[in-house]
Amino acid sequence: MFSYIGMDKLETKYTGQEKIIVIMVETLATISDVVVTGYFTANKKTYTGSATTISAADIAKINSGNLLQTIQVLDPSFRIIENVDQGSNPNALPEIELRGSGSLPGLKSEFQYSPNMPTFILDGFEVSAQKIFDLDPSRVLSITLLKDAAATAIYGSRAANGVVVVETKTPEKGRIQINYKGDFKTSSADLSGYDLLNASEKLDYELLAGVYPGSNRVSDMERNMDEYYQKRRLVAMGYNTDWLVQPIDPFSIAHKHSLQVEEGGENFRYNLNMFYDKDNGVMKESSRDRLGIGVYFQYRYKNLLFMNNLTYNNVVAKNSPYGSFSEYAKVNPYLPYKDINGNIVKFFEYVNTPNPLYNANIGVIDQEAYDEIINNFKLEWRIADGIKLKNTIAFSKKVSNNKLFYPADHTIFRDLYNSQIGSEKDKAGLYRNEYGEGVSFNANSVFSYFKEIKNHYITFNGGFEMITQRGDLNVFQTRGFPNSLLAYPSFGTSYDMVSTGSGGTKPGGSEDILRSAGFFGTFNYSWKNKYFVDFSGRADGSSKFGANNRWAKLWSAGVGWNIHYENFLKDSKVVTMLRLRASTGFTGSQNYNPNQSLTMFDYIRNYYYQRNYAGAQLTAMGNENLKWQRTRKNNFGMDLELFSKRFTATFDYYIDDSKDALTQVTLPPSLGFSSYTENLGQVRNSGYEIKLNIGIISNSSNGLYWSLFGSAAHNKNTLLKISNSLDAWNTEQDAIVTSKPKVRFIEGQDMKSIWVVPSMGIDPATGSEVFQKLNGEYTTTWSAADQIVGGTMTPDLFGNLGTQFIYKQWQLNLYLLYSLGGQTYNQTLVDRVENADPNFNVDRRVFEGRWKVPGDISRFKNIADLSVTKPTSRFIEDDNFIRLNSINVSYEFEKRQLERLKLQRLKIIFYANDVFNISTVKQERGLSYPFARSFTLTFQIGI
Amino acid sequence: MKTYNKILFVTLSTVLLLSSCNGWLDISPKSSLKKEDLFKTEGGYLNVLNGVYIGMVNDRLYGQELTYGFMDVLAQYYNNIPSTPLHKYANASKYKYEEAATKGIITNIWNSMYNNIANCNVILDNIDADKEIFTDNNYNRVKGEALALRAFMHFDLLRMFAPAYNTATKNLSGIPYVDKFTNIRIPFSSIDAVCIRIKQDLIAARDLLKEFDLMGPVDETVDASLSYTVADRKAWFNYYAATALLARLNLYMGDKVAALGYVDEITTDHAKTKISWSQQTQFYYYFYSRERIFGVFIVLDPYMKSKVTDYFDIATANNNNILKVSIQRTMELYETSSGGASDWRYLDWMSKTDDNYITKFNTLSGIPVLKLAEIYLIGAECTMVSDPVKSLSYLNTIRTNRGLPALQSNANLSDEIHKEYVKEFLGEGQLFYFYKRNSYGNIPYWGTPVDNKEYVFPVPDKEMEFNN
Repeated sequence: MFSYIGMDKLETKYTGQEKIIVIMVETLATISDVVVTGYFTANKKTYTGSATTISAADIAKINSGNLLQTIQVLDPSFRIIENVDQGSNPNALPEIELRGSGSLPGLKSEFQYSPNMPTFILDGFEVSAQKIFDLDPSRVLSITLLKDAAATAIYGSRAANGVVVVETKTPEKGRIQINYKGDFKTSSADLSGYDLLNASEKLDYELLAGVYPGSNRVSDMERNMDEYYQKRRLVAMGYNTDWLVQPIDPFSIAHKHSLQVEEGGENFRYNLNMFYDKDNGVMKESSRDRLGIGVYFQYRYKNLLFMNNLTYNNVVAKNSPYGSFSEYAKVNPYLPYKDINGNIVKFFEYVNTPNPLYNANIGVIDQEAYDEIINNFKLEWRIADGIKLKNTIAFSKKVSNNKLFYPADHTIFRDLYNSQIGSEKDKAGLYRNEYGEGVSFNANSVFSYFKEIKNHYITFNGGFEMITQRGDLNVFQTRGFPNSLLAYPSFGTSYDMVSTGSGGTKPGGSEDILRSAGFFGTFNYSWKNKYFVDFSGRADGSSKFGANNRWAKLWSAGVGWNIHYENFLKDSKVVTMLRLRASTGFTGSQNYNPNQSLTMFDYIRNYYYQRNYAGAQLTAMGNENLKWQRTRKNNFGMDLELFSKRFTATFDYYIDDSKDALTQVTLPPSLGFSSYTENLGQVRNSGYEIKLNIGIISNSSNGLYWSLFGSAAHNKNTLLKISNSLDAWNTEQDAIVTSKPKVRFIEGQDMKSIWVVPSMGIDPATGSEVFQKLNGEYTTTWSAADQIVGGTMTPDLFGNLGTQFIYKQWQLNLYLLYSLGGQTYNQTLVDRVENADPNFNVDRRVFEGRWKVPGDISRFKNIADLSVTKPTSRFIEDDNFIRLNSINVSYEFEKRQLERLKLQRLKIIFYANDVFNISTVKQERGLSYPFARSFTLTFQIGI
Repeated sequence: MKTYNKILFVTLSTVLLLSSCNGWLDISPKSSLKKEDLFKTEGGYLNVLNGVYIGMVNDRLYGQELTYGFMDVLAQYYNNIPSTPLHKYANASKYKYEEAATKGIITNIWNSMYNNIANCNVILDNIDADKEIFTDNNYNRVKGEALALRAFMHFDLLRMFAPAYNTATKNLSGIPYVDKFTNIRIPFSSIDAVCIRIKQDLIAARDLLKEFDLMGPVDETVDASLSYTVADRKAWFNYYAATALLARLNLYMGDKVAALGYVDEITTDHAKTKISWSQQTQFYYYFYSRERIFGVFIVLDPYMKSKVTDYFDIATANNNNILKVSIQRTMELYETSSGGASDWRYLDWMSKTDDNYITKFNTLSGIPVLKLAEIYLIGAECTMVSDPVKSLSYLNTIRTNRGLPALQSNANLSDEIHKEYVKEFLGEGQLFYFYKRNSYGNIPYWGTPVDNKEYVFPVPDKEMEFNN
């Protein structure tokens, strides 16, 4: 019996021969022949939908921290919105879009949920993105991205943002196997976007920037210069702290262990698995610890198959007590952070600002933790040949407990801590506790029917599903903790108001309930596997929908043509596969706050009318007609294989029209409320995706393989229709002056457009910026009315390039991510150069110089002009980049070497992730948490 | 065939399992209250009704702006404001309605009044279908009060945001009469149409309240089953409040005969109506407890004092926003040099210190909104031309109950009515409406002539976007 991950198991009888030659077949081929929809599997040959399948072997090639990042590398339609703020924070859950964003943003945080997040399905049931984020990648058998209407319609009102179906491994037939995988990772911070001044330069800059002004009063001037010379003395004494490295852990070691024991008998199979992942981030004491235990049983009795999968997970996420990285990027390098006795100072001398390092050592607690139990039970009944009924029941419970503790001597309590008034002093120190509980129950039943009559193949899958979810969150905040020894809520002196409360001293909390039920069916017919059609439909009822629109009825239809089965191509050695497919249909989205459809009341606290009767008032106007958001998806696709898979290509073109997008609609105030939620917006996302794979060398005789692959995705986002409230919102936003360009909603434009006033540059004569008005005239006055689209953050092309090279037991994989044709607003130039505050450390480019005297030709405005630079085209830069996402080299031990070691398998892999990032923009990245480069050594051992 | 039986079994059981799905999809999260849940019980309706009163008590409405705040600033009661440029009402006192702070006050009035009306409407839209859940007289009470409150608030909106009613103006655009909870725009109705709707609602409310209301023609003074007292009913919109408001409305519409009918109903037998005149001893207390027909209950601390000291008490007030009536001005208002020095109102309602301020509300638990003196003044105004003797007797009844001598028969009735309004409604927000209704070309103590520029508040911009 020979088995191998990614290979089909093979049994060969030992008949006493000296040598057994075993040729194993890659299972990859079989996974890629089916499409896993979550409810059932469909035959890829006659599937009209657009779907990408990612196998366990693909995942192992990349190893980028978590599964979500891995998916992005393998399919460019799945985009993680780059988080310049959170960088490589192990605890930051990424925001994701699949084929662009089809929802309008909520204006008053109406959406508790990210409106564009795709739906994640794990072993048949919807889970949160966080669950996938915390999943052990080595448990995953396959990931399928369902993109177009034909693929997603069976998910009905949850399908509009695409569906990601993750299946975990189940035990295969065979003797007991023990597999261990260990990863040892070291990370270092990628600070390449930062270019700060050193102590001496900083002081020079301060002098230039006029921090120590002269004065006609000698005493003032002397005092200013005295301060300067004291600082100069510090510089001379050698004080030149590199603040950026202070919160960074120079030897951040993370390790991950995954152990699986499984055995597969004829009727009874099991799998036991354990997983521990200590993912330390590059900032000191920040980490995400994941622990997972799973027990899987499967038992076959006649034509019944029982399966039960019980998993337990525990995640503890610690945020660094060092606080935000941006604090360190601001500190002046000449400031000593220790006093003469070697103690860390709380407030810096001269500037009297808090020392961020001080808070790191006083016992701050900032952690989030949860425990989760999921039980998944399946019963499969083979009624007859080709007829099957599968029933599944899943239950999960998640308990979370988040803690935040700042003792009294934390610098944020400066005034309270120093207060002479007892009642004020008692308010210093804070303990916040968030206790959450989520319970969900899912059940579904799927009936499958397959029939072949001569050249007619008929497949029908249909079923129903019920989902209930309840979430409960309680928040308590306590005040008054004189020191870190008292880090427990009961030591507090009083409760504190929670910001979610509506006034008064009260705890916060909320309850969410969701119920939904759905009926779905899909019908596939093909003639000789040449011509095929798909019909899918789903009726979804959800408690989120308004009472008058409880049921969403959504459908899709698709056609396809396997040209390679036609006579004229049948015997072609060149074109071995050519398939055309087209589909259309409606899918829905329900990523919104369920309360928007309901008319809700709230009791008025702190006030009673005559004779102490409580009063209740309307809080919002519900909309009983509120519907699911619908997206009309159209997809045209082509799959091509030349020379027996030496060259494969997939091409998809799509137009997704989101109709009935939820948006706030302004009301005349005489109706009692200023707005309500309505299905009014329309957004279009259109684009194409290309994937290519070229096998350059495939020489099985000397074990040499070399292939190249690449992908490209283009998405264009257009707002087709907006509501009156978004118009009003644009106007309100225009009135607020900030240095950052604002999101504006204008029909016909991309939601990610960067709105700026076109700049003609800095006038060398005056040093002020010259703008161009809409009518072409020049002006020096910035006006919101003159804003135009200066660029868009959506790139023209986004994708990956890579190569795989195999020589005997050695393998090399390389993945590059690229982005072309997008723009960005270089906020570093604005905030840290032009509007730089000389009291803090700044970007080196301040020396490039701002305009000082007439005749200066400068990119930056008059140094004496202290006004905030409003959004201008001057700081829009092309944002093209190429990143080495992952490179790995592996060596797989040969059979005879393994025999000596008494092992079934041994593989050693070295990975390097995010090693370089070449970008056309020089900008500080990773503001609150730096980005990281990581190197991993992985051992895979099978006994 | 066996296979097909199995399939049939599966299909049928599926259909049965999910046949009762729609009810299951109705959810009720505990942290917020759904309309459908709240309106399952009588208590829920009573709470929403109470919510309307609590909304009225808000500073933006009868808790301040529509009584001693904005409205009395417009009536020029306070004489310190123009000299204090940072005063909250600095621009309001000059009728500069477009200035930001003043515009904010007006917008808040409009929005809060209509928000309260929406709360009334949500009751009225649902109550008939839920009639069977009510016990005792509570259906009549909740529906009657909700109708009356809706009418009352529309009437005050009309008095603020539309020109005063007369034959020339009555067909002009007034305000939207919002009579359902909806997201569909309700257009402005003509002033006359709004008045007619108010009248209909009030008559309907009176019919509903008549049978049981202690502040109505019933003989009891305590309702054993509901354990209300007359004093409790005075904090809720009662039968006589609806009657008094009909008197006010009919006078507004110029129908003096109808107005007099309602005046008579309240003034004929004080013992029966439980609204009677005060006395000199503890006048500061009895003018409220006895003479009030309807007043909003405001108490936060034992008395309203803690609320009004911000504006009225020099010792604790925010000095920028203090509202003062100088001793000189007070003496003029109460005509102390010509016999008014004995006026109980002058004696009891002002501090009469150097920094003279209103103490009228210091020992009260609320502010009167409809009261007996106004009914007599309506009577006096309705009979001024048709029956001057009766008119004089209405006025003299007030005067004798305020410690003033009766007027001679040659008195100038319209002047005397004006003077009584000034003296009576100090801090109660009614005087400005009196000037507006009678088209005074000058407001005393304001140097410039006034017309509808000053008398008609601008409708908020947000509303005009939908309704112009």
